Amino acid sequence: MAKIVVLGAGVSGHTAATFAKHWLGDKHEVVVVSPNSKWNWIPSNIWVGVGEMSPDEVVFELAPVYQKAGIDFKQAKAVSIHPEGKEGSDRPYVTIEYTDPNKAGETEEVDYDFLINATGPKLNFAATPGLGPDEGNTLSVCTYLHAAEANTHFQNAIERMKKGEKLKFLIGTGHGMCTCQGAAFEYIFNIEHELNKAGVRDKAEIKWISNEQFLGDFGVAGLHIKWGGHIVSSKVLAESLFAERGVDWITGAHVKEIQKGKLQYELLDGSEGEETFDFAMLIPPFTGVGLKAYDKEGNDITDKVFAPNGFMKVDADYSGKPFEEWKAEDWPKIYQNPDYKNMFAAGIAFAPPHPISKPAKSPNGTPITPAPPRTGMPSGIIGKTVAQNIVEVIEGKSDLENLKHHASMAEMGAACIASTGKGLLDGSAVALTVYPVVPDYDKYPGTGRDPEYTFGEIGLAGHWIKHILHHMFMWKAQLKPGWTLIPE
Amino acid sequence: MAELLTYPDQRLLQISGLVRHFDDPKIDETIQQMKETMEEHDLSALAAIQIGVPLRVILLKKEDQYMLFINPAIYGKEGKYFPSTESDESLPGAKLTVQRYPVIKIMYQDREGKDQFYRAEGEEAVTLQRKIDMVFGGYLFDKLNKKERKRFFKEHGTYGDTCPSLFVKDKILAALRLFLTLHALAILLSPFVDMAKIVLHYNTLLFVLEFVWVIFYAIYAKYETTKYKNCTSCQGANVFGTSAIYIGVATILYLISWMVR
Repeated sequence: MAKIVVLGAGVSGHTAATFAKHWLGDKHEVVVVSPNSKWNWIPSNIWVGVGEMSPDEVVFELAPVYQKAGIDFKQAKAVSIHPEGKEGSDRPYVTIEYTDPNKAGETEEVDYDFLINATGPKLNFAATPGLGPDEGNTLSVCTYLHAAEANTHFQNAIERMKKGEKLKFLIGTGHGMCTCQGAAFEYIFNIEHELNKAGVRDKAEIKWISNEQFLGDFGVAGLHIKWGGHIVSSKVLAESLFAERGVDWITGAHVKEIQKGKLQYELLDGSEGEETFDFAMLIPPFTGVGLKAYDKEGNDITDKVFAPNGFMKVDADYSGKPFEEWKAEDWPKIYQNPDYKNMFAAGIAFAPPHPISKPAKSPNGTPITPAPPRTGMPSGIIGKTVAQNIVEVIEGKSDLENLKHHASMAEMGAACIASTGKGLLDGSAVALTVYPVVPDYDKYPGTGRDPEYTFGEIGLAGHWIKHILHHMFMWKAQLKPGWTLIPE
Repeated sequence: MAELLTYPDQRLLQISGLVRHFDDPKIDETIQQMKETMEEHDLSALAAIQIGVPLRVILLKKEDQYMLFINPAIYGKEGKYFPSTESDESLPGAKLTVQRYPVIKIMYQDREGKDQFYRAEGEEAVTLQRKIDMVFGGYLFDKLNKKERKRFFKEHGTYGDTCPSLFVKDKILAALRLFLTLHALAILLSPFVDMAKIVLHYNTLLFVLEFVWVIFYAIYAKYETTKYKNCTSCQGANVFGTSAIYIGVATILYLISWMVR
């Protein structure tokens, strides 16, 4: 009997665990370790953040779902990995600390044959002094609880505006190395849409602040969209959308420090500026969750297993090549740790070899470059591929040196539907497809993307699709009938 | 000197890629050709794509000196949008009003690949915004609203690869729509009019007919749209979605007819 331990129950970990169990049946064991008792469909958090969905609509309890599936669920956080075992035992294990209220604080050693690290990111609010809901200056929509808190402030702001106050909304990224510009983009336009609906749009000044080099970069060097019969960069689409909706913007900004109602930033050219605000939602930068790794003798090997940003090293090229030498092959294909072949990292937990957008530093040496985003679709596909490879090893169809299934982000397309307002008849969303996610400059000279597989449109239909996807993925994640047929 | 491309030349309507290799001799060659073209046509600015080179390179002539912008990106601006009426040598005969910023801040690379910054204002800012749009694949008409863009295409012609105004596939769909409407109407009337009961009697046959109709539409639409790759309504997903909707409608009518029967 083989034992797969999955750390994390987000999109990637949940997909990997549920498919592994589905394929392996009761002959083998699948264990999920997650500090959260609930699964959260994160893309819909932006709707929680504007009061268009309740937190309950975007989450469900994991325990009953895993119980039904025959997966052993431990509500705990992973603390350390011991890939060589310990003195007296070669069997690898992870140390976990329970967050389950009944066992809170208890620790346990969970041994494994195969480990999938899908711990996702740590929301690193501490990177910018004053950033984040805990500091009380800015809000976040990264978790459903953060989003619910953002909505409380948002509804309060609407009430104040109804009484005649004029307020300024500042939305974007809270550090020069942030990713996830897409979520902030969705949030700013949902805010704008809701303010219109509430009849207080004229009382609001709305401004975008981000670390992108240009508007529409989205951390992926821009998307290339077929629009009106020819291919246009998302820069042109984004500029038009911002102008049309009367939303002001600053890009190329590293937010340095935040106080109550104001923040200071440094721009790409090294100049500095200040913005004031009454309501701010700024995405934090991401790091790894802080897992440690130890060898058999108990020596700390965290640096060997994890990259400096805390994400796990996999089969990628981490040599730190300059931008002009970036290649599609730099990106991992099987997400396997090079030193411990039975250890994998999926979703946001793997260390990308480099950004996707062109890197930039201000003349003061401050890096202002979006980190590579890993949205739901690639995360799900990676999780499933890792599970598929492990299952084939268990079944004797392949071995850890020759894994067959690949899921490189440089060979993978992604479809993204960014909501720009929720409503059955007046909603809208930007629907985009991009292939490949990571530009392949050798295969597609110029932009690095295949123009035949790009598509973009803004309209009501996109909103409906986004809404349908919400229900579809909630259905799939709860393993309801037909869940295996729903794509990632 | 190189040929100055004008709309609707397909070579002009490409998106330009980032310059990654600064030692590529093609860059100097392109810059030289751009200078010659600018002299010949007496231009104050030119994007490489205007001579058919899809690289993010722009030349700006300032007091008889050439300023070179490689991989330019607008990271900041000052002031509010204002309406600017512009024309461009690549869109001869067109004078269009678009929104521009009075001041822009650009990050770019010089010939050696070093990051540089530039603040442009007034006429120069407007020109640079237009040229930077071009290297990102955007033209003046892309900044117009749908109605104005339609008018532009009517006056200046489309570039061949957009959707034709009428497809045969749309006629097949229109006929099916009419058929389904009559079918639904007949079901509604069937409790009262004897003749309408025929749709209940032959409900399975009608469903099969409508189903085959949709399949025929899907196959024909796929065949007809193969040559129109850049047209949104020609995307496979669109044809698939439309077919699914019509099969759904036919199925609903079929189920209702059983219930009424």
